[in-house]
Amino acid sequence: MISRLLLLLAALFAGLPVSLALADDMVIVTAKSSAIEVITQDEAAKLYLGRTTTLADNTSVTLIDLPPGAERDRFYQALTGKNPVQIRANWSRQVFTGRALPPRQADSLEQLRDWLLSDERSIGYMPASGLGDGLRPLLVIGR
Amino acid sequence: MMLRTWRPPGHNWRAWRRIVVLLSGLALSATAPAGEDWRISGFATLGAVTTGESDASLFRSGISASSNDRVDFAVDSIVGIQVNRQFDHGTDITAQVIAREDQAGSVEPRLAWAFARFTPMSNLQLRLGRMRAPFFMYSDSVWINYANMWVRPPMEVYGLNPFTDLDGADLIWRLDIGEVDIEVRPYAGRSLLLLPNRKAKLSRLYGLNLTTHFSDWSFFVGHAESPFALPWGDEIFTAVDAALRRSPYASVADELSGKDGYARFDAVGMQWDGSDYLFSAEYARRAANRYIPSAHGWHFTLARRFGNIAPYFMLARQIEDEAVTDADLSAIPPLQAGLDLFLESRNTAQKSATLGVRWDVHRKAALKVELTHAHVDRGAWGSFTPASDDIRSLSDRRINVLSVSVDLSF
Repeated sequence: MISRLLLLLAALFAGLPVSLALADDMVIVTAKSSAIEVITQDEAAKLYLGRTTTLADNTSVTLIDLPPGAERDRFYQALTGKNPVQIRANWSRQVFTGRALPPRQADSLEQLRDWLLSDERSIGYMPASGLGDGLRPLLVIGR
Repeated sequence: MMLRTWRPPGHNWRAWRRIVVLLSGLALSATAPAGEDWRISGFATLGAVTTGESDASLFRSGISASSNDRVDFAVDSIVGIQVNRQFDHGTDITAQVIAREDQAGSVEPRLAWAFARFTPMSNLQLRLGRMRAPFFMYSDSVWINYANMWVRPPMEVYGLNPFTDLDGADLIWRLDIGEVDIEVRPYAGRSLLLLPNRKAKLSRLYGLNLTTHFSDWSFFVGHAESPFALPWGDEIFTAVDAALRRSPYASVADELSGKDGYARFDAVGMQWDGSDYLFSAEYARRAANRYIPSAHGWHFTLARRFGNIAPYFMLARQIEDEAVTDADLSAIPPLQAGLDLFLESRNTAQKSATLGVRWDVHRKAALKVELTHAHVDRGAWGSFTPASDDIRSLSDRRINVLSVSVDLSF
């Protein structure tokens, strides 16, 4: 219930009408204990495109990816407007030119949750319905 | 820059076998669980190239060795392994080893990147070590064929400067103005390029790049300059040099090869990477006072994405602005003929049209097939090298090139 409330709050901060934060919307999440308080859509897009590796206050962020598949593609499309082919080409460019570290790839939602809880500098994304205890939504990404 | 040596086919199979072993090791390490601190990743291309002419083979000037093989696997094939480690306090290190054929025909693995990066502020990075000399818009990813639409970057543009390493420092300063990202990147260092038994060198390289990202648009402007050394050692140079030094024109020999060159590079480029279309264009210029011609080149590339399949079309042109020397040796016709051959073999001017298709067959693999029709300028060898002893045969020729490659990113 609390996570649902936080999600609504996050949706408000993100400027999305709350009614649009549906259960299968993607949300960017971090651990409740994380020092990361806010993230803007612009910051999130630059992080997940590898154009920056830190937040505005210079906190370095570890990115976590879901396993390859429809949810991951949907997240990137909604956040960056780029299709899977573009995203993969972009990431190979960012990684192999030393610009950004590749996101760590979780094998499952459970592993994503474990990693978020064990590394307070990390952020990930998941469908809003997957939020459990210990996680805090930072930003709702529209569909 | 070019250096033409004629080698028996298959001379480096042993080296390529080592690369396969390296690749297998990487495949094993990639399946092992990644540690939290170290990241290992890799990329590879297996490429095959053939020309429609039995006496001409494709030659990436300053990059790969020439080959007499009917189908050349060494022009584009490459394997790269990278490790990253992130530390606290905004410091990280990157090291990348690549193996590909170099101009001397060797496939020895070498360090392509090895730098420490310090991030004192979120919009400022200082990097020290070996980076990529960023002369062109896509210099950083020039070997990362998976990241690019084409089989290889257009030689009319990227052939103008084959130096890849920057051993030194660069600063990446990012300014975000609304939705516009501006990146300012000054750099300084030196760069070595291995030739057979010799090294070409940019000894005091300074440059400044400006890159702007706005929505799906990117714009690039870059300038660099450096003193350079270019010790040619190929048969044509050696013969012409020896003849000149025994003639009344000994001073002309000093204009052909040596350590006292100075070169300036400029490039401007743009890219529009939309969901359905990719458009990119780049213009670059090399101005050198000796040893290599001054030249400029450009390309336009348009790709249309249909899901995982993207046909693309490219037009490219390189024009020689000034030959290595304008010395008049017509008083001694054989000497003039020798010099003309030398000048022709250094001139990479040509125009080309390319039609290709990229098919992302897997999320880690892309298959590309590309057909290029090139027209070499009169008095030039273009992007080709003779595959026979008839070395005057490339000027003004029309040559088709078929390239097939599989690019991996893992």
